[in-house]
Amino acid sequence: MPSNSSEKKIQSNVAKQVTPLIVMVVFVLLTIWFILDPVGTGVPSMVVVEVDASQIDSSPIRQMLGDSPTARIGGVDQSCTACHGALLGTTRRNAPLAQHQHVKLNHGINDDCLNCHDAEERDKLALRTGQKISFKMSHQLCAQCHGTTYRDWQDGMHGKTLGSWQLQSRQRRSLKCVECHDPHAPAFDSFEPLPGPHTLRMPPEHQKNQDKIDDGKPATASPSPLRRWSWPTDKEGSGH
Amino acid sequence: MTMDPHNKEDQASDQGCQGSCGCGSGDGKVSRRSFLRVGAAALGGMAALTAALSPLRELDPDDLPSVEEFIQKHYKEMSGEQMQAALGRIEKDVQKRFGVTPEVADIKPLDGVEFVYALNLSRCIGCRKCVHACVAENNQSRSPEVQYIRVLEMPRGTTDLEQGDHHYDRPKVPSDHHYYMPVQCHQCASPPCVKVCPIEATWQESDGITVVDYDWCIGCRYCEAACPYWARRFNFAEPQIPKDKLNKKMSYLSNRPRHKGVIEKCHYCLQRTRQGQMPACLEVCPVGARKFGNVLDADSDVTQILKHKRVFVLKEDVGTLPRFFYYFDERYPRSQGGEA
Repeated sequence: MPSNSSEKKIQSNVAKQVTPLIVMVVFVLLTIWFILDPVGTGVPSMVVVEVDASQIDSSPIRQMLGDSPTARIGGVDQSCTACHGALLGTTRRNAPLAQHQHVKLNHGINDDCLNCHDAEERDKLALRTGQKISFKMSHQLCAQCHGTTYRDWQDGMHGKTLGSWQLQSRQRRSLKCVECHDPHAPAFDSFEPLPGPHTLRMPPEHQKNQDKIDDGKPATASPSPLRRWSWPTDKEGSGH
Repeated sequence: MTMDPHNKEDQASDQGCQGSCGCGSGDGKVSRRSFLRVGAAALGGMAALTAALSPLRELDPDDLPSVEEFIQKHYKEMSGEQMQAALGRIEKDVQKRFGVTPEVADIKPLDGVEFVYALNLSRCIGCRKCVHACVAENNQSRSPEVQYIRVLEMPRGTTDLEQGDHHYDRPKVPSDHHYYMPVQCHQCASPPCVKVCPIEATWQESDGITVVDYDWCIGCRYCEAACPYWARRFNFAEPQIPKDKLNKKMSYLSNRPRHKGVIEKCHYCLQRTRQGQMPACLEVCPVGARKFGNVLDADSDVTQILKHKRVFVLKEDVGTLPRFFYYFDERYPRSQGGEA
């Protein structure tokens, strides 16, 4: 047994001698690692997106015509009665247009000028009842067909309201129909979207498919970063 | 190299170490070999420690909090005078950082007001104007980018957020086969982010807005993890904002410039809304999809919407009671000729 114990002693001595060496090597490697900083401890630099102030302008996208509307005829702004007063006074429906060629009527079944414009007095609009209204009151005209939307607009559920959320405030202004919609083509035009996110948690386009799960199926949409926190969906459905 | 002279001395006076130091062999004598070993390990350790502390070399003295900031009390415990002093300090700080003199105020909630937001999914076209108007209004960092609102492009027929895409990049929006869902802080009535904050640096105010005291936040990011709507943003680096883009109308709890290491989030533009104005994201929306108001007022836009429209909240099952509602109109999809 003594030989065995001395063997153990030698082994423990060797261990004693080797351990500090290993520790030293580890420390030195750590030193090199920290100083060279191969991974990088800083925040990665991202694309800086600058959006022009004109692109986030909150003013109405259309201007409403006033009480004395004008139209641009031959490069000059003319009042309606300048032409329609004595010279032209057609009350014919679906008359071919000699002027106002830029107006492209795209308003569903509402496809005639005189549905809205008054036939005799061109500075006015006309309701179905024949009552003449000014251009400023054009929302009454829209309400004849778009009743539910008009009701929503009156209650503040449709349309854009600027200025204040306080109902009594003088700054509060609900935009009229024609301040957003073109009455001749009321459907909204498509917009060019502003740049997407380049934030640290929503990295740019080329990084977004990193955590895509390859299940052999064509991706319907690129997986969102939220996937990390989601439960796996049961693709088999109601199998059990 | 530096050890050599010591080593020689050690050899000369071999009795130097009496074994009490625990460095050498058991008999109290230090051999040259063991001294070298232990000494080298100790030196390596010191070097590693120094290297580990090396990021401190990049520490800018300006990054350290000033004495006034350090001894500043919690927002709720500050007296009027102390708040004025804090606002003055913030103005100086902004002046120093950006060279711009701001107007910093502490704007309190209004009585009898509880703010609610409603967003019409039938109208949103995904133009992202709200995202960038918010950035401009609330002095968010441009680099690294911080944005409170994220807009998801969702396939029609589902509300599964997993299928949403943040990075849609079309020449024109909207797409006929998608709808768009902007997500921001929902100002929950039962906010998990407030519950998890270990130091009460974030809390819910009487008008329902959950605010953050950027001077009190320690940057633990518990709230960011707790939020089921992914609404909180952390400043990993010192926020960079061009000085000409800085919004000079600032408020203590909302859009004053933040520092590195604090959390921030949407606060319904409280510097605007507590003074009667609309939030910046609403004013810029070209389609009027966003609605905001006082839910305690029976005639307000949002009350009408809650009464008459089909509304829903995100992740209702997690019990956060959001003050942000999504609704939609009864109409055909755009791809089928979208009757207004």
